[in-house]
Amino acid sequence: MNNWDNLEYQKIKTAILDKGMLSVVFLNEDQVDLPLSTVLPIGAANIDESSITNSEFDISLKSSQGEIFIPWDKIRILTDTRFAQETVKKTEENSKLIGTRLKTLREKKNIKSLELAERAGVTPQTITRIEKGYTDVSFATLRKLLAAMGYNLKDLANHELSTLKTESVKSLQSFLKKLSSLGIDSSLANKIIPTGIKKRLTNDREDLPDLIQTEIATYFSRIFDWNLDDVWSNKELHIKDVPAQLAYFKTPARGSINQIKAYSHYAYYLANVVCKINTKASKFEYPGDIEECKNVFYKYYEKLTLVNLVNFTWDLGISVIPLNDQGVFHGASWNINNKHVIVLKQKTDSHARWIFDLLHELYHVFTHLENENTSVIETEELNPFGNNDTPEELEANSFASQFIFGNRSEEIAVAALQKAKYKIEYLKKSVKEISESEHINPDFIANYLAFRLQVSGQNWWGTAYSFQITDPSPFMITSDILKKRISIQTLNPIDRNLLSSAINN
Amino acid sequence: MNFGTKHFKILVYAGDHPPPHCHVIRKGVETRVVIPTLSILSGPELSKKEERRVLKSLDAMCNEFDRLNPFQH
Repeated sequence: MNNWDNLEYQKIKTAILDKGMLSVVFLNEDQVDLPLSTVLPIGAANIDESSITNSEFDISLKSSQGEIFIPWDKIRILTDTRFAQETVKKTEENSKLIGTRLKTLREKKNIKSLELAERAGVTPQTITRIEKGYTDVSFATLRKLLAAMGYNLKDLANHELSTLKTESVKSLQSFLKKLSSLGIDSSLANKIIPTGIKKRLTNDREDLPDLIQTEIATYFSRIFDWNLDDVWSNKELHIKDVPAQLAYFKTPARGSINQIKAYSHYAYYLANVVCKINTKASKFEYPGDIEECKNVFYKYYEKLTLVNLVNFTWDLGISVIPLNDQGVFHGASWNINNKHVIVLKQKTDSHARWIFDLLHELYHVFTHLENENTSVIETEELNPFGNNDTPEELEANSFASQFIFGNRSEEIAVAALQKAKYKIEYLKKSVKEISESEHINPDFIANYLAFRLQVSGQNWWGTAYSFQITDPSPFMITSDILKKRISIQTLNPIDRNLLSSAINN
Repeated sequence: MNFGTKHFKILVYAGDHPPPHCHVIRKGVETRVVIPTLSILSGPELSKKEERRVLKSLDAMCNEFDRLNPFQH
């Protein structure tokens, strides 16, 4: 128990006034002396010293203004440093408590702070300062703010509101936990939090400073379309359906739908950012069919390489964004206000795999995304023999295979197997020979065979990998082309940070 | 000023210190209660019934506090 909770500390035994000096003895025998003037209310005058009396908890005196009462705590504050410090602490806590409860009441009615300021006729800064507990607020102002929301002072006495306060998210750890429950894993959160802030963060349980909280909230609220005030509040957040709702959305075989939704939002935001600044006119019209597509490509580009295909895609007016995070999202294509954007997301460094994925997405763009604000989200790794057997996916795989192999992918695969006498140990040699005779890069043939063998439970990826071109990194190739094609510097600092963080390894 | 009764006093003093509070005195004990949040500064917790009595006078107490302590905010 604190000393001041002890009755003997509070109760006054005697009070004597002599020539302006007040001498008080408490029940615990503490004796304190202080000038009467220091405890009198402002404006008190003509004190009759002889009128002094005391009850257990206060002293009374007669004055020209009538009877004056001096409570025990006022005397203790002036004579007990620890009690004074405790009172200061409680005063600060109370300002914060009022701020938190006011904010909770506001959020309960979904009133934005700007709107409240307007309704109550105060500045938005006043609302912010009160809600953060930076300022004492008169009951008159409090009443005005509460009335503007349909509340009264009694609503601030609601204990449930203080329970909510203790549960509000303030530390980085609890914030990351809250995000994780929405499908935003720590690696994605890390991508979103700007580098400058990250350096100042520690993964401890300490409350983060307000300005850091606000800056982090700005980034997340932009991407996920959350109210800025809600990000660190105890209010439940949701990932809205918008980018995913428009998709040819294949139910994921593995992983969490929340993660896909969250990552789709993130990728969609980046796609919007890039779309806005990709203002260059396309060099070519979209081809009508695969033959026309190949003709146009080979007219301008000699070989099917990743650099050439990415540049070709940009020449068509389609932006290409590379991402390389872990997780369940495997790429997407969007029609955003009649401009197309492809997001490639691969963990492998195989150029052939990136080329296959880009061709697959190009087909979606040409065929499935004619309507404004439509999208295709890839929820599984792209695989010519994969489980994505929706018509759109089968067609897109077929387009990619035809572009690479002509219409002969299966014929070439069988030829390689025959040449190897259907023995896996000879397959590497036969792939090399078939590649030379058919003038198709061996990495494409090796990948096709590895996927084909995977269907029958054989893992030939180790050998297939030895055929892959992996240097320079396809992520960096795609990222460098993006940086040449658009001027990231023209973006506002937040979007610039987000995009830079996404496309720089 | 007493917002309670003779045996259940709810006192608001002029020129009192922050945070805004009242003194609830009953049965020889005192609890200092912050207004309007009803947090406890010192003394035993209020019972539900006692809290309701304080809550009943909350509006009037806050008015009086602003009047008696015009320089506190």
